[in-house]
Amino acid sequence: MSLLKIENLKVNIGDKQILKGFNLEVNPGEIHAIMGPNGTGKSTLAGVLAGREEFDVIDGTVEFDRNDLLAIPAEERAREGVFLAFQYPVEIPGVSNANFMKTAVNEVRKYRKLEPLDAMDFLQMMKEKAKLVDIDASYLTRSVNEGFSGGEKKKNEIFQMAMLDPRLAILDETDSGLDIDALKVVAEGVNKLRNPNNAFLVITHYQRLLNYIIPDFVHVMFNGKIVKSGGKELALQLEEQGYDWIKKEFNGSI
Amino acid sequence: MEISSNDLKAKLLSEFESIRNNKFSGNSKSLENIRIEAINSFASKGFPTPKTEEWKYSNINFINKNSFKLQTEKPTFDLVPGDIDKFAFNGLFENLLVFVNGFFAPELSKIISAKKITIKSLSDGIDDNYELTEHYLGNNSNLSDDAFTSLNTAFFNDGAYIIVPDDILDIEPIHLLYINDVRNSSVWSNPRNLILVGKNSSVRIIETCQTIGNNAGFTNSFTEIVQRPFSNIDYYKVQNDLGNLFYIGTTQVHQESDSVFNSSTISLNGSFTRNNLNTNFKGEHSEAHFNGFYFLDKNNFVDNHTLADHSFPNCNSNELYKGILDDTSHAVFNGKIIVRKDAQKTNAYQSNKNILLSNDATINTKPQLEIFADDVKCSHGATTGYLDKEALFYLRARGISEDNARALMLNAFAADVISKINIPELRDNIKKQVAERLKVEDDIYFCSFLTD
Repeated sequence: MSLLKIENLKVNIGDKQILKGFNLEVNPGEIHAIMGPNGTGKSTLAGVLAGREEFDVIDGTVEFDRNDLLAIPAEERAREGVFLAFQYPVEIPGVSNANFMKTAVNEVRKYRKLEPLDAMDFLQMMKEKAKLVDIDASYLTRSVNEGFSGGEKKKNEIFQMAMLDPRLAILDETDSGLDIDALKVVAEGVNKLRNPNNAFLVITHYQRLLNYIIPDFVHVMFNGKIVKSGGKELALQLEEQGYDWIKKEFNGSI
Repeated sequence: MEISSNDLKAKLLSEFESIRNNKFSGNSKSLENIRIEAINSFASKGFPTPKTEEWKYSNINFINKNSFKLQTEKPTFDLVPGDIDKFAFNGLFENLLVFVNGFFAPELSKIISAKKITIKSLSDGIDDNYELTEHYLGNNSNLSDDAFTSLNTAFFNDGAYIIVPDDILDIEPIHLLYINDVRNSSVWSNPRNLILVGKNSSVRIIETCQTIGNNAGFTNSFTEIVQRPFSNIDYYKVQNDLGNLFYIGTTQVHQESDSVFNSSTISLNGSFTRNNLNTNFKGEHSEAHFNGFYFLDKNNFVDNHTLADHSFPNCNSNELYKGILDDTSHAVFNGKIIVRKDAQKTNAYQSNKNILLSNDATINTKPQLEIFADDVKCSHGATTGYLDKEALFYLRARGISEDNARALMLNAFAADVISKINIPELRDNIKKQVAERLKVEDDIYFCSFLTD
């Protein structure tokens, strides 16, 4: 039974069609990489799945665990277990990471009919998860992402992912702007969180991240849909040959 | 029943005459002269109109609409301490001076620092040392432009009289609580305070105003503060009346050299609130910090008028006012900074930030910088906007409901002003009130666990 099933998804921003009949099926335990040149609709896909409201879905369906994902608002998708690691994490002055996560975790728990965590249990959990992505506990008292470096922001995304324990995590260009050390930390975090019940959708422009997060499937996205799928070797081919051949092969036909 | 401003003015003038013939006789001749000077000033200027620059956005129609009964005789109090317990700040050990309808209520008050400082009612203070009190009460010629200050001087019955000698540091906070007992009729009271703080001394003052009863209350207060060199004052106004309160309050500070004045003006409720906060630097190396937070909904109105008047070199003034406005509420911020010719090396900063939660809320914000010296650093800024949509989405994308996401962000917006309050019990009380109103869990204690 698939965890995520996207069929013939067509999405507009304003008058412009960005996704033009996108199909994808993801099963629990799988890691799918979505690669492709800039401007091809990768981040739109991530945004639509997470519940951004500025996009118009004009056709198609998205099922998450057999339920209509598009029918529920962003917060409910998160509570159902969809997690988006943002390409550009937002700074929120004055809201501490700790209070942010406590509010989020307890809202998710409430939705799942679990008791809220008390302060000590929560604290313990935060310290454990912070270690996973090598962030210092002092970050947790600081305002969300405020004054964080690019690498710290991305680590914070993975930390939040660890706290919320999603069933489907979408990493939107998490590797962009990361040095090799931060990239390794982020990838290790993902690998530790991986289990047979969850799945990852890794959106990236470069193959680099896929050296550390080994995908089961690689899809090449171009002009609003997947044009080629394969195993991890497809990523290596893209790394060697670039995207020009994809553009040549598919530009005329779409 | 509505009465015209001219009729109200005539009524007040005739009321003054009748009190003058009866009630003021016990006071010294010179105090009577001060009052006469004040009422004459009011008689010639009258009430401000929308054309009066300083009152442009503050519609004072309420004084025509409510038949406020000017308090001239001491009422018979039947209030007991239990009636006012709810106006205290939980856990705060404080000097409490209660004034009911402008008269001192010793049976409701609690004075704990009388051994270290002079702390009593102004009427007793005048009896003690009328030369001193008259010197200050009559020394407001620069303020006589303001009708309400004139009316306060003409009609005040009582207030607080606080003299802090030199080198006193460990006084419990002093809370001045004005009660308008409006169970039987609408009330107009005019509390008047005089606070002198000696060299190297430090004092914390809280002013609050509340109504008891269903009629309207109008408090027109005036607080004068004199700071000797190296003194330090924390001054807080907390406005959270749930009745029908109209409030105009002026605080005039005179800062001698090397003094520090910290203030926070917190407005959480009130039909009409006008705060005038003025400091006058009368020596070098002094600092004034004006902070403010207003959180308004329904039809509430708050106007903060501040003045930092620099006439000596090397002084700093720093202002941060933040506001959240919902429904059809209306706020005004007017920050005036004067840097006079000799006030070189002045630093003066001012910032006003607002978040509008409704399309029908209004903010008028106006910086007024008048700079006559050439070697100064001054800046001002004002922002007004809505909550950051991308930040809201970020919080929602983690499972937080839209309401809670807003509440978290608004609480954070308020926190940096509230955290500047230097009385922990008061700070926590305000934090809690704001958090409760936003229905958000206050995270301050929570975070302190982490640093252990």
